Amino acid sequence: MDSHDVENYFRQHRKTLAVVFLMVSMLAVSGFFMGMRQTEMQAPRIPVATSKTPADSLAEIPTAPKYKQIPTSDWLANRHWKFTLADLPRAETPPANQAPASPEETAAAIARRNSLRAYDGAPPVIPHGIDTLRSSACTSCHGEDAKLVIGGKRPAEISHPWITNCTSCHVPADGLRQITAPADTRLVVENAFIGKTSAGSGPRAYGTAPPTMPHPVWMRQNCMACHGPGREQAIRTSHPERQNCLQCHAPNAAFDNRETYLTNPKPPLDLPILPQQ
Amino acid sequence: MNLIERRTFLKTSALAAASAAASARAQSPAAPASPQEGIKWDKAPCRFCGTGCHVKVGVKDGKIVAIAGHPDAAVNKGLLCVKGYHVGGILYGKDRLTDPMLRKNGVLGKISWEEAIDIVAQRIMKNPAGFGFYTSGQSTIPEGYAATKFMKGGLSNNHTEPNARLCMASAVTGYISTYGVDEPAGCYDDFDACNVLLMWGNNMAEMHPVLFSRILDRRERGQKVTIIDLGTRRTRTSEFADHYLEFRPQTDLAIANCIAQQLIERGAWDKKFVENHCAFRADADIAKPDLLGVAISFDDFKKRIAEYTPESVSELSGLSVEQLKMLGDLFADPNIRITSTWCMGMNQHTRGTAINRLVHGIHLLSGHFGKPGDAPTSLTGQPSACGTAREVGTLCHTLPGGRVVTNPKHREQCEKYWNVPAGRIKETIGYHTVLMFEKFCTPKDKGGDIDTIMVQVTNPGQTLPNLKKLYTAKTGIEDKFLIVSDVYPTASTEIADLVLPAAMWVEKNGAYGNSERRTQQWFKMVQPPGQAREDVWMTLAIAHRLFELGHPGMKDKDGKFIFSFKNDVGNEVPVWDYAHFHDINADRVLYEEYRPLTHIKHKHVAPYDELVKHTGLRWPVVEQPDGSYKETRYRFVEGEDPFVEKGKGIDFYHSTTEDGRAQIWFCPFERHPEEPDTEYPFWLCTGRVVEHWHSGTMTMRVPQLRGAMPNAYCEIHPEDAAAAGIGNGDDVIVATRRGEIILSAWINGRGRPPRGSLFVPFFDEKRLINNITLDAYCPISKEPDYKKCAARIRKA
Repeated sequence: MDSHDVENYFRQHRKTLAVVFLMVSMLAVSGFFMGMRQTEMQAPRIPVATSKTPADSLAEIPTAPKYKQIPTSDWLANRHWKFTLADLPRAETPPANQAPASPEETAAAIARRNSLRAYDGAPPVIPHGIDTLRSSACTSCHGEDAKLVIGGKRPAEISHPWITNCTSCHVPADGLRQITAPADTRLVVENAFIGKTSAGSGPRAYGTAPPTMPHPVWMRQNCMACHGPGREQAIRTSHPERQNCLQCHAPNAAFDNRETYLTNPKPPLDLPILPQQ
Repeated sequence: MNLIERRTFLKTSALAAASAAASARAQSPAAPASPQEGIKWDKAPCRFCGTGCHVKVGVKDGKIVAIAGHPDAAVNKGLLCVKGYHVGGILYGKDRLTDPMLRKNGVLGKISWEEAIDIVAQRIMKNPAGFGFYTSGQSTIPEGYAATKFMKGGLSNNHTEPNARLCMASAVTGYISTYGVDEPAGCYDDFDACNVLLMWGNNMAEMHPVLFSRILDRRERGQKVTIIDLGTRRTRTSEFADHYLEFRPQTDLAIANCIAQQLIERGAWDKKFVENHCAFRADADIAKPDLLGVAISFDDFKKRIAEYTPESVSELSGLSVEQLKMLGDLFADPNIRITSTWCMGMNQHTRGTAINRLVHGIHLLSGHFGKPGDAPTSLTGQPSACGTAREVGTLCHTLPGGRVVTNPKHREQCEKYWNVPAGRIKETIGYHTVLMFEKFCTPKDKGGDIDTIMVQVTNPGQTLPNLKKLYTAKTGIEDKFLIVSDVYPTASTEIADLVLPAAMWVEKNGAYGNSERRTQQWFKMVQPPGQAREDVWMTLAIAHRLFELGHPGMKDKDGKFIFSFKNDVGNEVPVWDYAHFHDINADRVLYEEYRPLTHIKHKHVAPYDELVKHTGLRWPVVEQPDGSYKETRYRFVEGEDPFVEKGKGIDFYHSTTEDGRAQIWFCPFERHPEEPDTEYPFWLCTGRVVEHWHSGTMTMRVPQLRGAMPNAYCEIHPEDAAAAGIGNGDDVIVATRRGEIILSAWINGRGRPPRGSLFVPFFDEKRLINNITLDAYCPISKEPDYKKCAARIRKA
């Protein structure tokens, strides 16, 4: 096709091209403003610390077909779209014997965990948007069968499934999303509260002894929610087939948070002091 | 084995054990120091709502580091809501007030505490009758008692009000006009026993989430409990409910009457219960209703209630005839247990007293009363609305222990107890909240005879209705002086002339009383920041400064200061001097002084030292022959309430008619004073969200809570939004006859108002919805209606 052909082509299709040009420019202008609007709204949000690996975000995205290929490609048919929960892939149970996590991996896992909590023992905030009205929506992913894989990750499982009013304790880190007002029109005050940190791993009496629990049992009665197969490697159990966890892993009384009453400074009884060995 | 052998054996085995432990230590990595180490735990009631959950507070190196639900607390059994779990953070907002500040030429500047106390005392000296003391349902019991004694027994001034006027005054008048004495007969144990939970305009899933979880937990245990949400807007509560009955605002009056009509029509009322324990009553003149009304006959009651048939009420309320008949069926069934709950939906109502009476009435008429699970129970919004505002009596007409200023006997009892001259307590009722601020915002020559207001533990600059008229109008009026004690800068401190930095929650000793008559106590655990001091100290210091200045009211009959604090050996401790305030537990002294005053209405609160040992006790708490103290679950019920004589079954021993009977009231449906019209076609409702507590002063400073709910919004029905060209997240202008504000629209959000209805939460100090709310109030309780006014909305 030489330049003359091109000119001819343009002359013949002038009207069509004008329409196309108009549409393209409208899209560009509106896209530009929508983009601006988006940035404006996103700006005041508090970032939520989540671990985003390139693999998570890129691996699954298919390449778009060329326009010419569209009629024959699978693109239009949406044949491979998975849009129901039932169709999402399930996590496989990994082999029981895996190398224990390195100290760095453990530290990273604890940091990830801490980033969603005001202190160790606080209910974690929700790192994603939610159905603001119904708690039943939570259990579809976080219920006892939380084996779905969404974006390469398994949703956290509820460790206290009998409590059903989820949003009375768990709130989104970024709650209002699109209706968050600009930061300069909101009350934003820094806070100096520093919460208790996680206890790390539980102490052992000797090298191969079962560790005692480094946290209270209350609200964490479903051990497998955090320590079960497919969970963070740092705290995953190596022997999921053993079901009676408390048979070997003793709770630690230090986590009972026992009070000391100020009005009773005297010990209840004058007990004899035990002789040293 | 002889002795020596045994000793050697023990020694060797001990050695073996020691070396085993040592070798194990050598093999395993050193156990990390437990993060629990150095944390000291103590108990306290949660700082927020009237549920009265108990928390454990973990303190390390003088700072709060963790919070845990108290597993032994009967109220919450170890569970908390998102606010409770984050309550520790409320102390550590970076903008805590740390110094007293005086406004000079429009700017607040630091002054000393001595100057500040003197300025307040001089203002009061100048015009003692023009002083108003505005306290709170978050004031501790000792704070409330000190305030009420200082004002009524000292200054002979009844212009003292708690913000609780805005939240539960209608519940009080409902209880008093029905039973003759305030506060619920039932308790939270009813939630564990009821078959039906009927919520009257009460979004428990968000506002009393821990109590709501108590009900939901029963479902998880496989028990059947029918949850009915009677509301004007779909909420998280509706999603858990078996039945969501959506009625038109204000028609709750007609619905309650319709239940009574059906009971009578079907002959299904509890004839024995009514005959033995009840009487009928109505307002003498509906145009001028009063607290006690006049007796009417059963036939008269029957005649008046007859028009409230399911068919006619269906037309009025928007509920279907079937839904109304279902409610009738429930109350007509004597074999089930029904617990009714309500909070602001019924209390913040221009007919608040009436609807409270009617709900008690249907429970009495049907006999759904006095058995576990059968109770009408109002829930309070504030942690000590019951304990302080109602029981201590910080309202403008009350005296401690359920007494009123208009009763000469009650005045005399208090005067004698306080050893002040006869006639010291004024018999005229002071200004109620709305009136007090109206008088404050009116120039003196136009009748504004309140010139100084002291505010403690509350934020009227955000929470009064119609703020421009009742609060901000103060600016520019000559010789008006506003004193605000608070922990953070607020909408109230914004225009205050004197700002006092206060200690909060576990920075001070305290005692609260929750919705189920449970008195709770806590000790100071951490130091307040900077110069911040206890509110109770401020009151005592001001009173003592007035004593020094020679105010006659600060002296008792013997010329001594009206407050006295003696230590264990009987020596006077000058607690008004802050250097000596902590020499003694001033809270314990004030509480124990107050405690005997509670006996006249049989509200025996527990002794302070008993409260120390418990996570709260429900009054009446009566000493047993063995010296222990027993709390009361169900009042007026034989076997439960120690003041009901054997053989009586049920005895309303404080009956207004003095015959042991409770009153079943007839109150007609009356229209709201500002219904939507063509100019303002929407109902505007205001309220709370689970993350924030009241004006957000505390919760907006906790990152987790603010992140979840950073600003106020306006909920609107999608069809209304479409009609007005409003999209989700668009800026909209909500306007009423009092002004307008800009908000973001939220369509299909957390709450779903029906067509013709809007909802806006009030926690956001940057978007003061109370600038445009209505200041009309219930003629008996004087509580304003924040839930209804006419509004219009347009895209900004």
